Amino acid sequence: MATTAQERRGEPQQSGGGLPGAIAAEWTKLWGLRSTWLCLGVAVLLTGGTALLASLALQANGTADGMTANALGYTSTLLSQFAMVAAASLLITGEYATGAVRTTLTTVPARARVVLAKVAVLAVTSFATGCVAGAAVIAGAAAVVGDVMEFEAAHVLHEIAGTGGYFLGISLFTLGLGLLVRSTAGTLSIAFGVLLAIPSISQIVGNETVTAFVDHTPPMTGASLMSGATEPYGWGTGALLLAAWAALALAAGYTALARRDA
Amino acid sequence: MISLRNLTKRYGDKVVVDRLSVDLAPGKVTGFLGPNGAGKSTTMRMVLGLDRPTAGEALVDGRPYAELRHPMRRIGALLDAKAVHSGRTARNHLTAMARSNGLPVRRVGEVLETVGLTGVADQRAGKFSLGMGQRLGIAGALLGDPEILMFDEPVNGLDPDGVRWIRGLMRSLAAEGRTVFVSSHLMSEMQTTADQLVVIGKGRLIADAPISEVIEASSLTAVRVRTPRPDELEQQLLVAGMRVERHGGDELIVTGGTMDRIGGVAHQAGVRLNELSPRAASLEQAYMELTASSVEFGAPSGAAPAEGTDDRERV
Repeated sequence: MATTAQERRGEPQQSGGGLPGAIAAEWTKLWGLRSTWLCLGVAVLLTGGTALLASLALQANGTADGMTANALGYTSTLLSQFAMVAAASLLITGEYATGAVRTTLTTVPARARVVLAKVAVLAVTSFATGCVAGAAVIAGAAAVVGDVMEFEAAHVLHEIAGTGGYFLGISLFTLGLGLLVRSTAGTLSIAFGVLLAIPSISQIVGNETVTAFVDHTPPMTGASLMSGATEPYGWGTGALLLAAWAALALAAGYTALARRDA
Repeated sequence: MISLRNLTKRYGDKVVVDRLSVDLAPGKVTGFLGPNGAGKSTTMRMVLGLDRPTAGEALVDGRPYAELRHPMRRIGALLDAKAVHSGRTARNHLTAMARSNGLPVRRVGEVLETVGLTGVADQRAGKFSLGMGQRLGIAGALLGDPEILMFDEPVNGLDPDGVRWIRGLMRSLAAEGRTVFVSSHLMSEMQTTADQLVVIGKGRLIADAPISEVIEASSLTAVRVRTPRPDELEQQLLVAGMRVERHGGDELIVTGGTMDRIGGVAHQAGVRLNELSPRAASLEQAYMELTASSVEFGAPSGAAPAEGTDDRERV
């Protein structure tokens, strides 16, 4: 009788793997891709750059007086959020596009564990990226209109943590979409529609019911989270709403992953 | 050990795998044969939990794949060379795999060495040739030092050197007592590597037997007889229920009878024999005969199935 691999190795090897292993694998995969560095770099630079441009415009108009440091948060992420969304989408749709998802699902066969590992890695990464982007907004504003704007600690913290929270929320929302849709183009189109097109269209339509609904969708939570808007709700409600949207998308995505053939 | 129990997969009305029940034994290379579209890849995908069976189950060491905590330590699989993100380096791909199963990261260097990819370990997989992709896939399968290995068309895209290498690798893995399950459409390849054959057609099990038995059982396995009185012997053999084919003046090719029986008939008829020798069918002939009725995409004349994989591309 030939010896088994376990005997050959001479150790029981029952440790490791599981959720911590799956998270370590996702972390390794995420940072092994150039697209991750590119997307996150662009997200930060674009946020800071937009803040800088907005500050220059405020300075030229002389309207920066008395504005708080986090007032530019929402505007500054209007475009840059899509770089974050792209990184979030690629975490799963990049695997479907290349076939790597088959490796992911054979090495970590429990579908819930795959989703949790991706959520964990993306949550940390997107929150950190958002915080850095928020800091870039502060830096951009401080460089141009630092003398007339209000830079209280609460405003700065709100901007940094708020952008982190907003990026976290829209990233997990996108991950859920990606699990559901599988294709990068499809996921980004939907994300673009939800985050940009629907608010714009609803503004044009001007119907009260539509506006009330759209006010509670992910992009509109950003205003309360980053810029400290209190109408129609404060940042606490905004955070809960965004979390609910992300949870909904992830639940749908997980169900699709668990039910469908890979 | 892999056990398939009534394994069935249906896509709409189409039955791709039909009540397949097979146990794969350790210490052997089991060849998995079938025409294109016979359900080989789908069967392997169900073993790995990638596709969900419509009915029945596929078990690895008695448990469904999804319940294995460290699947890579139980079973290593190469499904296709494209299960790699083209933007990642070979080393990054394998390191992520190792971490997912709590394997020491030093195994990455070891398996890269084994498959001969050490020199290109830090190149992105998108630049790899098909053969290099196969080697990377095999490296991933070996990473967890598993007792079971499953390869889908592993020699695809390999050069002759690579083909010889994989043949040796499969033999040595089986010699170490592991279960090796390998699909191929290259009969000659199976004839030199496999001990056991599982043949399917249209999703159904056609044969599950040692390779020698499959060849012996073929009606094309014949006996060559040379005699100075061929007409008389042919007559007697036909009476005894055997099939006879005349080749040249004194040569008969007899199927449907053993050498013992043919010798007996000749003795009773008082016919002298100049030669009585076995003529084994090739595995290819035996296989073609077995699957003749289940070739799905074959030429109408029943010509050889087209080369290529039976993977339906699904992304």
